[in-house]
Amino acid sequence: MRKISNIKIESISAVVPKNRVKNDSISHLFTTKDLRRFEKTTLILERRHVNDNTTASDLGFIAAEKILSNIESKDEIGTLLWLSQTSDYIIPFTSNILQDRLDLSHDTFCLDISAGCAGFVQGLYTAFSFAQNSNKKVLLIIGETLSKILSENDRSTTPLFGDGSAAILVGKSEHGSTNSFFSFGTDGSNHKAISIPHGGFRNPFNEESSLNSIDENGNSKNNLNLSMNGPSVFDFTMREIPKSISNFMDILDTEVKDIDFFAFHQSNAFIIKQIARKLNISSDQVLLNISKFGNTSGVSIPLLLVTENNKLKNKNSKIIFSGYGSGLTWGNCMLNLSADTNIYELIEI
Amino acid sequence: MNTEDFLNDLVEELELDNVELNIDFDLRDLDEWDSMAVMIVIGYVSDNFDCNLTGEDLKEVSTVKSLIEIIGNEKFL
Repeated sequence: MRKISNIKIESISAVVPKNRVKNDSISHLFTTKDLRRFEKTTLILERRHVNDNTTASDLGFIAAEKILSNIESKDEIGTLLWLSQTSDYIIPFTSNILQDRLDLSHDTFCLDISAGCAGFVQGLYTAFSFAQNSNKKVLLIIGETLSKILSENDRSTTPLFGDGSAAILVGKSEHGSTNSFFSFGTDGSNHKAISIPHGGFRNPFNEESSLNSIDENGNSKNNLNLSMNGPSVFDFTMREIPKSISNFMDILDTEVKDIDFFAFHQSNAFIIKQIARKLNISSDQVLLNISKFGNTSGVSIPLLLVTENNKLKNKNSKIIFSGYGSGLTWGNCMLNLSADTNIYELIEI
Repeated sequence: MNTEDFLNDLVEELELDNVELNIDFDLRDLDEWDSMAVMIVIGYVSDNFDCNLTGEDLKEVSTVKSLIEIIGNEKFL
């Protein structure tokens, strides 16, 4: 259990591409009946994809600009965190590029974090920790363009994932004591369950990297595409996440009825409903937007807060965030989202 | 649960057309027996039997009877 006091989320913004990819675009992967089953289990009806020329950091730039244009001075930002698995380059890291594009001070401490579906909770804990040790604010930008790493002929990945970005401004709380709590879990033994096998330095790019192969389920992809062992990830989620949230709440002496909203990583509606059912969480406590955006990895929870803001605005909400995915990694956070948090309307570009 | 009801539920949950399920039916012979079916069955079993199966458990399943054994024979009439 990790506790951070007197730090809060000040603002949240999110950006998605205008380009909606509806399920008829992936009909080549399914029979009509299978597509209906896919929609019934995952609830995913569409996702957003960027064009070839737009990167995750381009989306992140716009999300961050929204927040920066509403604060008094950019000099309030002391730390810029960029969290992504689809960054601009292998070298250099992207936070420095964003520091320049956003015209932030040369004094800004910039750091990239490589993290996936648990990324929001990992990034938020990092941002809260930095904010606690500084007089300046922390700008956390999360961006993913997973569409660029998918094989269009792999039904274990392509139907699920979408693109987007979010920016979160974190600073000191001025009103008395506010405590936020975090817990994390890691199972590195299953790191291959979600991976891109080639292109790093364990398996450098070679002539086999872009060769397509067909797996036992008929999915075709190459070694530079995202690969996911769906059943293994499903088992991991069902095994670890309800238990970890239950333990987290026990340690905090908190019951489900004490929580206004649960914001789960939007992986697939079936998984979210199963987690909620195991924890006796009612459906009106569960925020859900996966039908419109699919799984946007670390972006999904802040994107959820933006699209479901009608339930959050003008009141204080006690929220539990739970992220889980590549690593395999999971993280939970409980905090009070105050009524004065600036949650901006979704930006579509 | 009554085994007959279980068979009917499986037909409904898996949206099986023109399939007569019985306890000796090999589920692996179904076109619909894929990762989505596995999720659906895990969810259905979890909801109705207070029993949490995994994808690994379902890999061991062949006939409906073998699924019933994994869930627990004592839970069926």
